[in-house]
Amino acid sequence: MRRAALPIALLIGIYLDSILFCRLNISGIRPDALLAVAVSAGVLLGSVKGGLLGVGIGLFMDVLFGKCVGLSAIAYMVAGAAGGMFYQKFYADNVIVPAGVAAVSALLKEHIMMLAVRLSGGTFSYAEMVGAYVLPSMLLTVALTMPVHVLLKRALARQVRTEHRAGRA
Amino acid sequence: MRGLFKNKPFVIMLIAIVLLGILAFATSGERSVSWLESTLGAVVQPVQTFASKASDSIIGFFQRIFKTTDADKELEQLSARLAQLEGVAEENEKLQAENERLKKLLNYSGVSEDYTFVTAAVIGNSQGIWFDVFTINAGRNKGIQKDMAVVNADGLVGRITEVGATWSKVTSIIDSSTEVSVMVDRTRDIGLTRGTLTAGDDNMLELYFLASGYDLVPGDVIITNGMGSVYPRGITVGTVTEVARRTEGSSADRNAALQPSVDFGHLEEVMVITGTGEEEGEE
Repeated sequence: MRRAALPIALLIGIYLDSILFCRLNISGIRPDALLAVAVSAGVLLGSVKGGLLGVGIGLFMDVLFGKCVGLSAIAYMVAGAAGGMFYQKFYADNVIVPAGVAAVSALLKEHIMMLAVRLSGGTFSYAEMVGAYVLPSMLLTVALTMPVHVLLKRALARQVRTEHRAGRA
Repeated sequence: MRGLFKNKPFVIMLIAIVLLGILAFATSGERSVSWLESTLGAVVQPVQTFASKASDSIIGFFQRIFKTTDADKELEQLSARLAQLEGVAEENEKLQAENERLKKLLNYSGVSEDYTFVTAAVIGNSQGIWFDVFTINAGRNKGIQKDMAVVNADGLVGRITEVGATWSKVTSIIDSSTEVSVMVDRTRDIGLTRGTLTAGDDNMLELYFLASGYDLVPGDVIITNGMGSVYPRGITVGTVTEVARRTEGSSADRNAALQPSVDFGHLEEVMVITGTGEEEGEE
C-alpha cells in the first residue's frame, strides 16, 4: 500500500485538476493539486526524482488536456527539482518549506502559461490576472501543499528513512 | 555563475527546459496527434469517463454540505430514513436532469436535420483559466475528424483540434485564440468573435470587424455565418450584452461584448457535427 502511495496521490491529483476543480471552484480560482504532489515528492525524494516525476506529470497533463505539449512539463519539472533543493536539509515535519516552494512554483507556472497565451495572441490585463487569479490560486495551492506533504511524508516514511541512511553511509 | 554551469543536474534541467520549450512551440500550431499520445489517451479515456461521471455525485455531496444549515444537518442525523429517501430523491433528480439534457440534445439534433451528429461526454478540462480546451470521449472510432464543429443544444461550443483513437480535444470558442466568423441574426452584418481572458468564471466573447455604421442593440443574437469550412451557418454563438461606441480610426476596437449561448461552466455532453445530411445521402 505504501509503495502505491505516490501513484495514488498522482491519480487523485489528476482527477482533481482535470475534473473536480474545473467544476468546483471559487470564481475560477482553484488550487493545483499536481503541483503540490510534485513539490512534496521533490522535498521528500530529492531533485532528480522530483524533477523526473514533474516532467512525467506535466507531459501527461499536456498530452491529455493541454493545448500544447511541454508547458506544464517545464513548470512541474522545475517545481519537483526546486523541492529537491531542500532534500534532507530540514526537519521533515516542517511544512513551511514545501509550502514556500509551492508558492514560487505556482507563480512560475502561471507566468509560463501567461507568456504562452500572450505569444498565441491572447490579450489580458497582467495586473488584473495576477491580483484576481494568480495570487489567490497560489494561496490555495500553498494551502493544499501542506496536508499533501504531511500525508506523503507519512506514506513515504520508510523510503525516506532508507535513503537517509544510504546518504549517511 | 560559472560554478552554476558546472553543476550537472542544473545543466541537465536547463537543457530539459529548452527542449520542452521547443516541444511546446512545435506543438502549439496545427498538428496531428502522434500514436503515443493517441494510445495514452485511449488507455486513460475509460477511467476519465468513469471519473467524470462519478464527479456529479461528489459535487452534489459538496453542494449539499454547503447548502445545508446546522439544523438540517442535525435533522438528517436523527432521521436516517429521511436521509435515505432524500438520497433516492436526489438520485432521481440527477437522472431527471441528465434525461432533460439528453432530451434537449436529441431535440436539437431533430431540429437540425441538415447535420449528422456524434454525441460525446466531456471527460476532462485543461488546468487553470489560460486555455479553454477540453477532452471528449469520442475520437476516430466515432468518425471524428479535426476541425469538425462542436455544438450543444444551446449553440456553438468550439471545434475539434486534436483527434485520438477514442478521444478528441475541443478548443472552445471562449478560448482567447479562437476566432469565429459570425453575423448578426437581425441585420445580417458580418463580423468576427474572439474569446476573452478574464479572471473569474464570467466567460465572455468580443465581437469585432462589423462594417461601419453597424446597427447593433443589446439582446441581438449572433450566429455563425458559414464562411470558412469549420462552422456551419446558422448556429447560435451568443447574445449582445453591451455595444461599444466606435472611435475614429480604430478598426480593431471591439464592437460589442457577447454572452455565449452555451454555459461553459456546466458542460457535460456535446455533439460533434460529423457531416451534413446531404453528404450522408450521397454516400
